[in-house]
Amino acid sequence: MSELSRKVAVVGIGQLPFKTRYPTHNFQELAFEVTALALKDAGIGVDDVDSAVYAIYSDMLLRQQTPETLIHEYLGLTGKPALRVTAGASTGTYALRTAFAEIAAGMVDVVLLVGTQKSGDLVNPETMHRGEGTMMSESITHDVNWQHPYTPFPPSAWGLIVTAHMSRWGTPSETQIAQVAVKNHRNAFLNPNAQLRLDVSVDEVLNSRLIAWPTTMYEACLFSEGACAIILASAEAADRIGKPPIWVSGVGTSHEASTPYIDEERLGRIPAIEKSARAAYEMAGIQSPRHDFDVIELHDLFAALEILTYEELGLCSPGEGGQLVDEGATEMAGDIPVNPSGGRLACGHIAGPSEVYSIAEVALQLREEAGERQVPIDRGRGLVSTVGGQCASLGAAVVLERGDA
Amino acid sequence: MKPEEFLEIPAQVINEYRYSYGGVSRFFRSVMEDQQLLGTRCPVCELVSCPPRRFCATCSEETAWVELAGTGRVVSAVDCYYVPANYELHRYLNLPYTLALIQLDGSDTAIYNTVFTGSQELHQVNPGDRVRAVFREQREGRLTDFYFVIDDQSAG
Repeated sequence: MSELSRKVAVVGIGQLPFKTRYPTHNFQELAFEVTALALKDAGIGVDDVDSAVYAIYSDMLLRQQTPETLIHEYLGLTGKPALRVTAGASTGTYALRTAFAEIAAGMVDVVLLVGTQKSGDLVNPETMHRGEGTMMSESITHDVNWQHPYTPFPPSAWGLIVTAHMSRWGTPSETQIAQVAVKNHRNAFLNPNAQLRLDVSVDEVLNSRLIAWPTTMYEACLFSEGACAIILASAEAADRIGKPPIWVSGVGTSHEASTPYIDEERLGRIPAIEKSARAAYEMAGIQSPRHDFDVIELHDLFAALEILTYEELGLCSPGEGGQLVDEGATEMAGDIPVNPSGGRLACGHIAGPSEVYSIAEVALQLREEAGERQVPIDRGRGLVSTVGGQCASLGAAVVLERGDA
Repeated sequence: MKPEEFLEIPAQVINEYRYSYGGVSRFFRSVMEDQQLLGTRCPVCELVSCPPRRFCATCSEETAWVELAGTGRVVSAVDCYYVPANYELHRYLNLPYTLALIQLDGSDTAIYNTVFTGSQELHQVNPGDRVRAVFREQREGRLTDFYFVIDDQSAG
């Protein structure tokens, strides 16, 4: 970091449960409720907020353009600076980078970061199925000329990276992938905010409906509605607020190509995850990612992606992610628990709220306020990694740490 | 709030588009009219791109069109078992189908398409497989105007 930059801390957290739908709330109300939770957690009022950053993935899902204007007004922040960030399933983490920069640059002292998204309002006009309506909107994330005509469903396109990885390294195995799904579904039982609590065995996961080989239904992320909010503050403001600060010590993002890389070096790999993590590690001074973190929340948009992400984050070498699963290293009781929240497979997923939720989740863990899903905190440091966009093109990573780390 | 207390209404956003492929329009015209796949070559670095690019990704130079043989190799493939209902793709194929990333002979980049095998079995299409393009009878200037089949005859 440059000498001019100031430290930034998470001082307030608000989480709403992920649900299939929130028919009782419009998107302004979701943002309002979750902001109230975050302000209460920080012990401040809305007047103490200097600016707002809104992590809102899709206008199409809302049937509303510039929704942030309506939210900003609804929250009582009219007249204060605000902006909206959208970056696929890295929307919330990209938004954090913006909020971080505002404070680090000395522009403001207290920023409200809100991720909110309704997604279940769309229906497929023929089947009246809500999930399919959502999927139709989601599908044009793919390049409409060169990808979408043959791949209207994200797990298919992303599957090209997984199968390339499997033929290059022979890993992960179908069983290892299923074990990740079992783990994350099991973890969700401990999270009151989780959308799905499903006690499934490896066999049940493997025998569930095949979506895009090797991914089965229980290995694919949920589609949810939800909202999550975080209050970020400069060191000076954090001191005044008095909440034990969780410092944002590293932030990295990486925009990569929208089509999987085909050269020998990058075939079957996800540079967006690797490069964003490397940037965050460099800022935070992380030398040994395998040993420097107490907890990791990452984007298990489908189970195989979690294993590939272990490798890109440097927890192991490329091709060895499956081994971490075999060793149980990433289980709740392992030495580097991954997705104690249940992750995108079981806790819930909608771009925007998901990534803010992951940041909030790691901050809660570091505060040792994560309830039944609390993991031991020894190093005082946690990691968030997200990936989204056309075929894993948008990567982001955030390192969080306590003052004693 | 009780379920009977909130009110839900139907609504539509109907968007009909007419949009241009811009500088790469010729790729789709060539597919539609001549059943010929094209790529673009950079005059400076000689990188050949398919999907084509009007401007080179590395040199920013304006590229020139080159004819491609329509044969290539599978870089990676995934057997797909789900496509949302009433998608256009259902007009062209039955489930399951194989989505593939294909590097055409003479191109340095790869294109999304499908490899048709007629089989319902998994793993009929694998990395390294040789494939060739087949053009549909009805062509309308879309990526779905052509697909690929396994081609054991052509050499890379």
